[in-house]
Amino acid sequence: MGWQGKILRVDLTQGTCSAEPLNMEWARQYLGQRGLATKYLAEEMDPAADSLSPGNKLIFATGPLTGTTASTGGRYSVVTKGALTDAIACSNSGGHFGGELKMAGWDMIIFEGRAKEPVYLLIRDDEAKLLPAGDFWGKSVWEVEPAIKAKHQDPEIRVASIGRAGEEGVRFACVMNDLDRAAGRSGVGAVMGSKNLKAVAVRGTIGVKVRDPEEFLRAVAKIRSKLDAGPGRARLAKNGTLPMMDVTNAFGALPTRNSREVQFESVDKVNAAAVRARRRSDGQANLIANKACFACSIGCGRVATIEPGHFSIQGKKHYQGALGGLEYESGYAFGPVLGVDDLNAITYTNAACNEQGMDPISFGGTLAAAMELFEMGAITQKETGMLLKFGCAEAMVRMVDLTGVGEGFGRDLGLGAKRLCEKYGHPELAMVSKGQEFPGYDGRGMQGMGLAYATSNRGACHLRASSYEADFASVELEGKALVVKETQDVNSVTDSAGICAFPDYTLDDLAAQLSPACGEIWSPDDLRLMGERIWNLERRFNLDAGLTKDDDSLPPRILEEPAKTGAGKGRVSGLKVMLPEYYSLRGWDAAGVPTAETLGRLGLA
Amino acid sequence: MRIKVKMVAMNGPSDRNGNATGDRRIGVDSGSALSAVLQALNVVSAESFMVLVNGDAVPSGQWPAHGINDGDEITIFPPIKGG
Repeated sequence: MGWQGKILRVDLTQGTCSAEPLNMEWARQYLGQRGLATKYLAEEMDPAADSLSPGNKLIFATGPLTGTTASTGGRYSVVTKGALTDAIACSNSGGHFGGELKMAGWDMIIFEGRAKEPVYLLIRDDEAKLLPAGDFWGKSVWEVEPAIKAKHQDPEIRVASIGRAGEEGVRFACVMNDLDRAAGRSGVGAVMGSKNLKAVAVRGTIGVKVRDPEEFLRAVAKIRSKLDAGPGRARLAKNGTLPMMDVTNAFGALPTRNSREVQFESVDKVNAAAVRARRRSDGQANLIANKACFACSIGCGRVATIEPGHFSIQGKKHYQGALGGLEYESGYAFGPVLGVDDLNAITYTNAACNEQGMDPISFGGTLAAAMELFEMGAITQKETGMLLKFGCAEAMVRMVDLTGVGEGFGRDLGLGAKRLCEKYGHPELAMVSKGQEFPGYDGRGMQGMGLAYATSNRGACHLRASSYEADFASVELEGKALVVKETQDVNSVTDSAGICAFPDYTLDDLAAQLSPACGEIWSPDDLRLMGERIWNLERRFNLDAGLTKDDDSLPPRILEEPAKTGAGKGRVSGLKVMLPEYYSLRGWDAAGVPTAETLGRLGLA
Repeated sequence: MRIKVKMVAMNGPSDRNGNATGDRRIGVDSGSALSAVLQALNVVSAESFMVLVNGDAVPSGQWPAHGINDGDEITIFPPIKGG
């Protein structure tokens, strides 16, 4: 209950699908989604295997609350060894695919091996089969999803697929579902492409049962009422996450022009107010509506249009209607970090990433590094084919098109910032941790965020910890290691439960919903320990993959170049001070390795 | 004395506590503490808002002792999280 108790194992090399019971002992220890899939991955594969080899596994996993009426209970995760980072990867997505997979009766799909020819998986409740995908290979996400629905004459089918980027091995390719929802980070789409797996299509009519429906519904209603009354829900429904742009800019933690600066002079052209401003040309605003994922009572999703006549959409009819709109991370990644203030071009680039299945944060971060390489002369028009200067919207639009299909300089950009900067002799210009590009927060003003980037198991991430309040309250280092450690543990549980991070559920909220759903009695402290267990399991996977404490780091720019403005003016990251404290709080030795005592306490010995 | 107040990333014309959004200049008594200014602005809850004075973060515990000077710029924003 809560869990379906069944996983689907797909051997792509042999072309077989088989059902097997979920390991319930593991489910009670690792919950679902991020935690449980990582347990399966760690048990079943060699962490040292090449991420793009058949030895890597790719897991689609739901959580116990996926497919239920818990608010935002529609999430699933894609867990694998990341093509971008060569570390544990777990990318979480909303939309409707996760709920549909759970409704079909499956907790998880484990893909192993590599298909000889392109295939897609079709699931109809208990029935699962691999089908040839030759006709779909070379198609975008926006083409393949309707094509699969049409082929099977079922508009209710939900599809998760890769675009051209995943086929071409773009290191930050996503798995996309419902056209513009993404399991976005760490290159999970490149792993899917390496397996010749184009799509997973699912139709579920079995439903999801919970152990104690009466108590479960009572808990869901109570917690949802609390969520509805809070200011956070209203803010997200109205403006999505874009208001953060004004906050980070005011604070001085908005990475601008590859983190050379921390405030963007043209923020008013790309912020939450800008997407609501009506255009002179057609009287429309960029933002036209919001939308919600499965079971969500927030509705932070954005729907936008690009101004008719804008250069980016000439000759591209499929961009001349409603598109997935901007949230903070995509707004930052195609705006300030590139020095671009053309809202239409930013919206186009976001949609183009959706169409071909690329992570906006990583594309923006990689292009920012390329622009700095270009401006310093390390690359020239000979490589790029055009001027690649900060602020150039035309260059951004051209480069997203090339990267999405693996052509021209787009092939270099598809390497990600780390590999690109290494190739051209300036690894210090890659704004990455563990090879993953920075989200929209600077670690000099936001000291906790810097520590969170450096210690994130999947590489630089703004969602693995939640030090926002502590960071905005003070630029001092005191207390930041503890906040990062504790919120990493809580977020590990959230990411394993089947719900979204945005309701900001407390562990009490999660325990109140998970216990009646699953028939297990979990206290908040039980869940906190579970989160710590999941975090350490991921850490051990990374250590076994060959990562060391040297990978818990930040680029020289953040460690050595003081911020020029903002609340962190004159400061560099205090990572060297915070990291030993963080290791100590984690129960790790000076090399960042969990001690035997820690592993024993967490049941990982 | 007069100070500038910037309300950033609020929900609408006014937030749930009735605070107006946007920028404005207001007059305050000379020697006022930050906490008194925030109280006058109806920003009383440390759980609800973060505050910068002239761009520097001021933790809520320092609000009562933090003196405000003529021409200061106070930036107030809710404790939003990323995504």
